[in-house]
Amino acid sequence: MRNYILHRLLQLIPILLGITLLSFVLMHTASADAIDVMESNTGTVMSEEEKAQLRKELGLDRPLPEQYVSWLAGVLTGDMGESFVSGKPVFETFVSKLPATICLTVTSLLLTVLVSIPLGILSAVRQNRVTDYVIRFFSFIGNSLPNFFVSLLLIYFFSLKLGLLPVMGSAGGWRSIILPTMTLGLAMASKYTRQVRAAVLEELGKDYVVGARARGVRESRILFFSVLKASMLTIVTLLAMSAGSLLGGTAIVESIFMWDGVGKMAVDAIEMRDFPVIQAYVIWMAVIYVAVNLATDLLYHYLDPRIRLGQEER
Amino acid sequence: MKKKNEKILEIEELTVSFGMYRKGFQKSDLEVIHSLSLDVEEGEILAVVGSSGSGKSILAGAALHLLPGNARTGGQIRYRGKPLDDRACKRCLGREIAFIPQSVDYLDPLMRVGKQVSGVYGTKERQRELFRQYQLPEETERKYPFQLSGGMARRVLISGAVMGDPKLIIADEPTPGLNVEMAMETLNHFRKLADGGAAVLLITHDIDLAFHVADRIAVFYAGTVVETAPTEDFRKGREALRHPYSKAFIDALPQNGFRPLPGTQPYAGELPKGCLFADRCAQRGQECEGQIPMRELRGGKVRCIHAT
Repeated sequence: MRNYILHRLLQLIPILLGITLLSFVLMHTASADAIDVMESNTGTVMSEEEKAQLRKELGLDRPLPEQYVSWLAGVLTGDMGESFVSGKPVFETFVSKLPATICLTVTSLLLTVLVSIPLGILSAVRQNRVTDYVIRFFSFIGNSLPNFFVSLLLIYFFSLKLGLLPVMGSAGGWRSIILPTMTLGLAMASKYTRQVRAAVLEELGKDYVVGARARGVRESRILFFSVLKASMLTIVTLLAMSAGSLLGGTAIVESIFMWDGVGKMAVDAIEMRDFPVIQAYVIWMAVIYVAVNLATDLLYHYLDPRIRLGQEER
Repeated sequence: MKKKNEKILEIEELTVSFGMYRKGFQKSDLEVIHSLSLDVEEGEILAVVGSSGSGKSILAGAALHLLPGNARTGGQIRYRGKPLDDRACKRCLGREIAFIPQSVDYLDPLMRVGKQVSGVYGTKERQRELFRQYQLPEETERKYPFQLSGGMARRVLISGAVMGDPKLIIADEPTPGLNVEMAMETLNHFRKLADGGAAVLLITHDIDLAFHVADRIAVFYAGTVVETAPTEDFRKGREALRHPYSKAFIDALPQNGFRPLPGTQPYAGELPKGCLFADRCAQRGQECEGQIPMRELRGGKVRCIHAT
């Protein structure tokens, strides 16, 4: 077991090398670099000499492989460089943005699970009846509405009309997290309700359900002890992927609500061609996905005896 | 012979059809069991024999309300004289009525088998006792279904079914995967349960096994029972039997010359009018195209107008 985890973590090394190299090369194919963007943003005209001087300071004049290697050497010694824009150390900037994103991830996942699992089960159990149709109708709507639209609607009603919740910012205490959570959570809950419904229906159609009924097991017991457990195997995988993408930050929602997380940071960094920050973000994403997948596999191990015992026997 | 025994299970004019979509949105019903009648008394083993794909398992599911939602059943099912509706069935299953399913797929893959066998009504002691009786090693109760061999799974399923000391046992192909001794042992166990007063409905394609333990045999063809007769008649051979299909069935056995009957059973969607066996029958005539009722004949029942 420990070997397995170690093995998986070792796989992270080539993944990180490949993905950082790729993003490095892609960024440098962009026509404008940080200096050009800075120039057009500030509106000041700089001479070519000034620009060359600035590029030299940032190390942008060196050949690409050299830039990559020196960046990599820095990372390996724990130095991710400084932001081209703010001049602050990248690592600290990044870490300061993480709590907001993690917080939003946790709340919106919780909302998703709390809404979608009961509704999905209900929908499956009442398949093709009114309850099912109503739930499916709303989950369809929730699926179709884009995030930015939902967030604007929520702001309109809860902040402008009712004046209940703050419009934006992560500074407004716990109340400010409600709207972004709802925006993310409702869309995901709509998607997951359908997934849970499908998974539960699939399990309900299996022979072991008939077998349990034949042994006199009550329907509710079959549903909550056997079917739900088996359906969760599918749902857990999907939830893990969602957790991954949420931890990567949700650029649109974070921007609309001025939620100071990594998603917004990444978008700003891309706009400004702030290479060190982008690289840090890329590393974060890679680590997140590998970690999330590893966590899923371990959870599977725990949940599914066929995997757990199958490996031991081999 | 035992007479005047209580009829435990009576099935009258049972029809089962499945609603399904064909050619896009056209919904049609596919009838798979047609006016089937049979009954099992206490202390009796009735074997339902028929080739694979003739709908034998659906019969079991229909009797116990275990079919999926798109199935519709008609006719009457009575348990000890009272209609066995969905609710009555739920009350009895796992206690008075036991169902032995066909395969290990009927066990929850994520639950240890010991827990499944003792189930809701049983006890751990009784489960251990049954496991000993069926020669299952003690550690079996801690295993998951995927860790069992075919034969072990079968014995686990049987233990689960007899847990509650049932009055009616419906066994769907209980013997494949067991070696001969184990199969005989299982059937002898059924015999013991029957002798103790239970009624056993044994659904099988293995007529040899049916010969060994059954009191009566019902021959299943294309979704209905064409003949019910005492096992004795089947042992005597073709002359003692009534329906041409039963005779052909007997002829096809290895010990009787292995003579196969040409043709195949009609598919449920394309049944002939009247006698379902007419297409393969030598005695076929005009009169075979009408409704053929089940009738009493020489201590058995037959669905053929030519039978004597």
